[in-house]
Amino acid sequence: MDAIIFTDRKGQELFPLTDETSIALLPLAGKWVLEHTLEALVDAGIREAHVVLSPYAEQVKAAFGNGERWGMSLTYSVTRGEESPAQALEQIQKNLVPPFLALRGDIIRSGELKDFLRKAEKTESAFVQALYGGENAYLTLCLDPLRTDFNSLKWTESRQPVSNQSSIDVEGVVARLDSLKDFYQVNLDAASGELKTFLIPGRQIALGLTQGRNTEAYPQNLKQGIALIGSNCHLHSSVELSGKVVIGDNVIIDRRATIESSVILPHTYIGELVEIRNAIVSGNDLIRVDTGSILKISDTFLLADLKTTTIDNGLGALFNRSAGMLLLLISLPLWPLALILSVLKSPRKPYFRYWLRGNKKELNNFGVPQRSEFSVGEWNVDVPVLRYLPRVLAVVTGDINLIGALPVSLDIASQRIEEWERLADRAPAGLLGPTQLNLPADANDDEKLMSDSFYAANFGFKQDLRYILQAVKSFFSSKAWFK
Amino acid sequence: MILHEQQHNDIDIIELSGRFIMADTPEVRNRLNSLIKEGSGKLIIDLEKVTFIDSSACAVLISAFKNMQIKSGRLVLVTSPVVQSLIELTRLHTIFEIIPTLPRAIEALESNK
Repeated sequence: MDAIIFTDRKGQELFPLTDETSIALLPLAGKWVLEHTLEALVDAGIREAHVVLSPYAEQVKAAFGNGERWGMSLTYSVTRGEESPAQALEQIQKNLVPPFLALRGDIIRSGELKDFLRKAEKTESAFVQALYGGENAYLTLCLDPLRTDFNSLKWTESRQPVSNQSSIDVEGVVARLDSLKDFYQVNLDAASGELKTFLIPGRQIALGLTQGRNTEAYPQNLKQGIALIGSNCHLHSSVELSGKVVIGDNVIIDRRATIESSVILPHTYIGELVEIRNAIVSGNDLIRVDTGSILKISDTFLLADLKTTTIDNGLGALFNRSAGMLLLLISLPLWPLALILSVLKSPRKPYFRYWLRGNKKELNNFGVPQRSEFSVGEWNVDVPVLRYLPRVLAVVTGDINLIGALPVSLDIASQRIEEWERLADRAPAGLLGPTQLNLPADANDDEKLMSDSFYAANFGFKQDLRYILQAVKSFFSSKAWFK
Repeated sequence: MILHEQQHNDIDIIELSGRFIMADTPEVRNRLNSLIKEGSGKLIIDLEKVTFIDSSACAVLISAFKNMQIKSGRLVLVTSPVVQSLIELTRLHTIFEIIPTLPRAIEALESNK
């Protein structure tokens, strides 16, 4: 039997945890959310599944691959997200042969799937919905697709079954992960063994204390309660854990820190003497589930995100600035020419300045690191090479790279809200790049954005070298000198 | 690139084949604009036979999507594996409704699912 797993929630309700990832990849008691569904399917003998994805689809595909690690064969398709299940089924590139199981992979259910299937296969209905402990389990066995009501799979659907006549209730629990509080509570419940069918990774080193591989923790860390610690973590011997605590992979907790009834997400540093209570900590985000407050901690001695990366993955900073210096020296004879032509064209304003978003990062008023602005000049002349000559100075100062996406103002950048629009922001801004070299100056904003998105999706050292060669060639072309 | 238009009941279908690149964008943009302006608000862009697509071509699709939104119509893409992988790479699948084959796209628009 095949399974169709819907994992296409957009995840606004779990922001900021879903700011840069999909719900399927959120860590829940040492595993990804989707992993729990895959394990339940394998346990029920289902080895083939098609996963319907939307936000950050490429991350999910990279994490789960062909499913071999879970003993499954996985295929994928993408949709706009949160569409009706019937509409999403229209879009998948797979012929569905009934009976098949349709279920959500971005919620949590703990119960015996085998029990449900055994009972459901005996019925003569066109479809059977699963209830776990009387609640909609977002799981339907489809025997006749044309007569199946898939609406109970909409994640916004109520907890109650759509139709009582075609549902089977088995023992279990369902968590919709529809709020940060719910995500927090499910983590704690899973760690304390309340979700019976969950396989919790790690080995128990003391009563109530379970830890993953390569983790350095001490039995005395646990003062009272239950703690689940992931892999590659380091806890100082003076750290105190109490209540129910879940700590993800690659977490460092410094001396005399106190953690009580909290969930610490992977790649987090918790500083000396810090006290965390009733909270989710993700990098430098402190989310208090009791008060609902979300704080961004800017002091890295208190909380820090260990996976923070720079946006410059292409040519190194030193190379960029050296190349900028060389370019400046080579271009010196052009500066007087630019000045003369600009004065002739516009004697009153031969040169003007404006602000663009660069690659350097600084903390804003809320303590969030963001790319800072830099001031750049432009000669008032129609010759493209001369007009943008002052931008070479920004390469020398390290504000932009030699090769990169087209620099934009903070205003334009702030209008990029959708996931596809923000892709271009992954690339560093540059003096030269595909947009600057290949598109006409009057190209519309969508064209420029898409060109930068293509670059952001593929940029790297080899590609940058190709653009340098193209730039040298373009310098001697008429396009560089005539508008 | 070859551009072919047809109509199925009130659904406009524009079929593109070959390489869809920057040089083709003015022609396709104009055709799409007039189809959206004069059409019934149901449009399928069939890219199943497109062998290559660049960023300018994607920008034309985005413009068509935005224009169709203004008209409150429905735009459906039918993609080839090459186009599909680029659409996923640039995360445009989060805005476009993509259906694997033309008959299924027509069916979806007719039943308005």
